[in-house]
Amino acid sequence: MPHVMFTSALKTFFPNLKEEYIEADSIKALLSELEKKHQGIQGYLVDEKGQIREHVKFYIDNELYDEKAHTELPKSAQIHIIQAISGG
Amino acid sequence: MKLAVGTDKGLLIYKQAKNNEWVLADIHFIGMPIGAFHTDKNQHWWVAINHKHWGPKVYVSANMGETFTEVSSPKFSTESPFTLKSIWTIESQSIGTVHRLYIGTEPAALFYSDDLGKSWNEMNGLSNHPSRSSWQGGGKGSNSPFLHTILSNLENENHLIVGISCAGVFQTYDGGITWQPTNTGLKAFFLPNTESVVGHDPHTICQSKTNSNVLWQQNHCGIYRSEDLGKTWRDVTDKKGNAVYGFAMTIAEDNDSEAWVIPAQSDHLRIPHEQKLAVYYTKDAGQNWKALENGLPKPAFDLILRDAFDIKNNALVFGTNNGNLYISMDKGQHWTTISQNLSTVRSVALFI
Repeated sequence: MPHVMFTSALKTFFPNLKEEYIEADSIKALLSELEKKHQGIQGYLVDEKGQIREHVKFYIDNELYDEKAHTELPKSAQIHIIQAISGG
Repeated sequence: MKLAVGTDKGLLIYKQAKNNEWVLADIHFIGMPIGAFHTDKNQHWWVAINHKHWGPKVYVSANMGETFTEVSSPKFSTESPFTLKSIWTIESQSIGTVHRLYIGTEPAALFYSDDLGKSWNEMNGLSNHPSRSSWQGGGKGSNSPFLHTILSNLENENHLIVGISCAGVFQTYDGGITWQPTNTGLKAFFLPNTESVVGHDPHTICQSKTNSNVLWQQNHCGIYRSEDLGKTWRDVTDKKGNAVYGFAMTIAEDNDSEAWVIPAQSDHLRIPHEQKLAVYYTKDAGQNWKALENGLPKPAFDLILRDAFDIKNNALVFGTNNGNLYISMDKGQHWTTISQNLSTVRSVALFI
């Protein structure tokens, strides 16, 4: 089951957020599961068209997520959801 | 009196102490860029945060900032070519028993909510206006047009006026289904056709509380006044050439002839004239403009953004892009410094 870790910055908005194992075979499915557990979080990670926000990055097994390359999530995937270093 | 200051690093609440000093009483959303602040008729605070990472969010407080609850944010439909980039303004209006909220966004669109922010509807007649392809980008280095001003008509709830940079003033008389540009009299010196129907840059628009037919506009190309609810505009730019280019404007609450602006030297030189920070004032509907600078610094390199100037009774307050905050308790005759250590000030609001 993929293991998901979050930037601590998201805890400002979702105080109960902590790393967890989530059953999902794609990033889209993962987002959908996250939304069930943490209502509203999807809107922080993707825009209204479902695109990952410009300054949010997903890493899968330490590789930057690429929609075309990562069509399926490995069962043992380590997923990091981070804020890009583009703030101010 | 209290003062809400929306900055790029949080929403600051100042209170007037007994010795007339203004003291910082609260900081909300610390470190976060405040996109808009609005107090509605129920004294509920509506706050937009334009997160760089997480997208624009909207919050409401029913207890003057003790607690905030996140409501939903406007969303463009899946069919729309647009995605929400930022929120520029929040307003509210009573329509019968309905308490309606409005949000103006970038890309330019007007959204409304009749359920206190649970859901938002886009006014598609404006988003899909036939002139849309001629709209241009506006502020903050943006390449997309944005909607920053929303005015309603107390006598006709179906009548709305909006300001879009760079498209101009648009009005609807049917509750937002159809929209007409109303830019007659405005000049757009940055366009080949300076009297174009669409393409203007109304930096901000104010409506008189004593005579709702009177609107004022600080435009990219000068200062304008309307006496027919924005159908036509008359150039009232300072003939001496000082009060011309700027963003911020506020008008008297008790008559329609007094207004204040805080100009920059020019579009190309967005600092005060000769680096002397000054508010310019007219008491005769724009025929004459006078500098009010007592207590304001020189040299100064500040630009005052469109929502960073407000009036309540005799109090005038403004904040600057360099994080300075000034107040006058006598309509601009004397100014005192509240802070010179803030982040960029995007909005100020005085309230009792």
